[in-house]
Amino acid sequence: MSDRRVRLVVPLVVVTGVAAAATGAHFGHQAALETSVSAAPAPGGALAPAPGEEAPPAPATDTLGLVSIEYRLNRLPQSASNQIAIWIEDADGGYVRTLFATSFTANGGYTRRPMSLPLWRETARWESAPEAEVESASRPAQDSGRHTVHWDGTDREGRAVPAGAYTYRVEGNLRWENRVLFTGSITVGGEPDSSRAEAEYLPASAAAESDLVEEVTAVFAPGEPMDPADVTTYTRGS
Amino acid sequence: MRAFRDRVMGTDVLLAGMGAGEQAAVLGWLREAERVFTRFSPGSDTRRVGAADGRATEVSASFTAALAEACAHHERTGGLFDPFLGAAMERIGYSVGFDEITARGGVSPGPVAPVPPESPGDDAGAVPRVEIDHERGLVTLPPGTAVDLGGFVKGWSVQQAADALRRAGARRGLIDAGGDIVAWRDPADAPWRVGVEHPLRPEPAGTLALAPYAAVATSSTARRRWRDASGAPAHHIVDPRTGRPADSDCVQATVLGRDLGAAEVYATCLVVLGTVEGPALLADLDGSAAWITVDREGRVRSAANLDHYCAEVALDVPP
Repeated sequence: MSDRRVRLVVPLVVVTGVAAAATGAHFGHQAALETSVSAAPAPGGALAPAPGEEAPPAPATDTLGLVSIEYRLNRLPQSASNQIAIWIEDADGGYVRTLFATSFTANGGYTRRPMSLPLWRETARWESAPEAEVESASRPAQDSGRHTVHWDGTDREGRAVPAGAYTYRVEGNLRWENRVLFTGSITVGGEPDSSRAEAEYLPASAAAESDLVEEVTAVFAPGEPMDPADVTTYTRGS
Repeated sequence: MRAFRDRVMGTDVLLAGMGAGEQAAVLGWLREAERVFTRFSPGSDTRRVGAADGRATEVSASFTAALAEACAHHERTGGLFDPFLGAAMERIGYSVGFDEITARGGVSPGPVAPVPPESPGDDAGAVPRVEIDHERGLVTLPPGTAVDLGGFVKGWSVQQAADALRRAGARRGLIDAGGDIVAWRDPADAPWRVGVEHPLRPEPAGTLALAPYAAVATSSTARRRWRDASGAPAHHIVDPRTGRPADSDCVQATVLGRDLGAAEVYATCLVVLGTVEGPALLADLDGSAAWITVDREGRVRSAANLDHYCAEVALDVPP
């Protein structure tokens, strides 16, 4: 052992309590969706496992790829603000899935503040949304900065959607009933796609309020085929 | 299922063998980890804890979990792996994200000064005290101490993601964050094949066909290099005994094990200690871990137990 090492100072570390599962907010909803899918009657009428019997893991849904929606959030130093929701609709305006909703509104805050994200709540029929979707979409208010949310090409029940054009929307409360709504279109299929969303202020006079959300863009990546016989990647210093 | 690439935590991420829903969950988690742990954003837990000047700071559950694990590695390695080198990194010029250093032509904007050895609250005679309260989400460091969980937290975050996916029943997957990899599969599936880059040559040092589960981490002084304001070369692996970039004969070390955070720690220790002392320390710390080193002359050496983590090994090892 090196003499130099002996002189290193290692602090006294006092730990209180037990570490919680750090990833729960992200992977909990994945498990919840898989549970909701695997709990549904299987094609052909196969029975669900009996109580106490362990269900086999649900296979990952094979979808078309991943849509990344990126935006800049500027938290506003005022009340009745900073609520946002991000969701997907199909080309006919049919609701597909919510990707993100600020937990205050997502968990019933709209009963106390009815002007909170009304378009999203109406489109998603959020009051009757499946528990798995509420769990998957509901997140604490985000800090200012650039953020990305991902859509895996599934609907609110966890089923893969068909190829085609989809609409992504971001609704945000600027102050009380004054809102901004970003709308963009992205095509999912065999080819990459990207787009930028346009902002609309509701009502138009809300444009005078400070910006809560800016620079909303989406990228669809169909992913790369990989042959297991090939070298997948390289380990290297990073 | 198709593979997906993105850039998170200042590094290239590859996700393979899993569905898009799992990819979305991994990317969401890694982006959150980036926000919590980065040294380059004033609002991150890392920066707020470092600026607290001895006061308790409220942090996320992931910060207390990762810091506690890093402190355990700090103690186990006798200080050779040091999670409190944030100030030393700043002093040697790694004061902005490496993407920004690259954009500046590989020149750091930071000043460079002789650096004393550093550990939390380096007061003569006093044992500094670090407090981590998981229940209340609080961390207290000695004044003047800055955390840098660096490569460890990248490995730790990938390991958390892999563990969560495996618990949820994912039977196959590979998560690669800048060359730090966790890969798993059903024993009947074809193995993941992972190359080992050679730091000094264009051809790889070898190829590993991985066992059904393996974590692979590599540290290298050939990456994340820059010139400081005086023109002197520097890199990101700091020897905590000197506070300066490590200067052993080991240019690159790869460690295979069960846990990517631990493998990252061991790989760093190998680079700091060199190709003789490093493997000896690793045998003391964790005899089950396997290693591959590349020295300054480009010679590749490996441990005898690589087959614990590999179905096949093809390395360019001299006879």
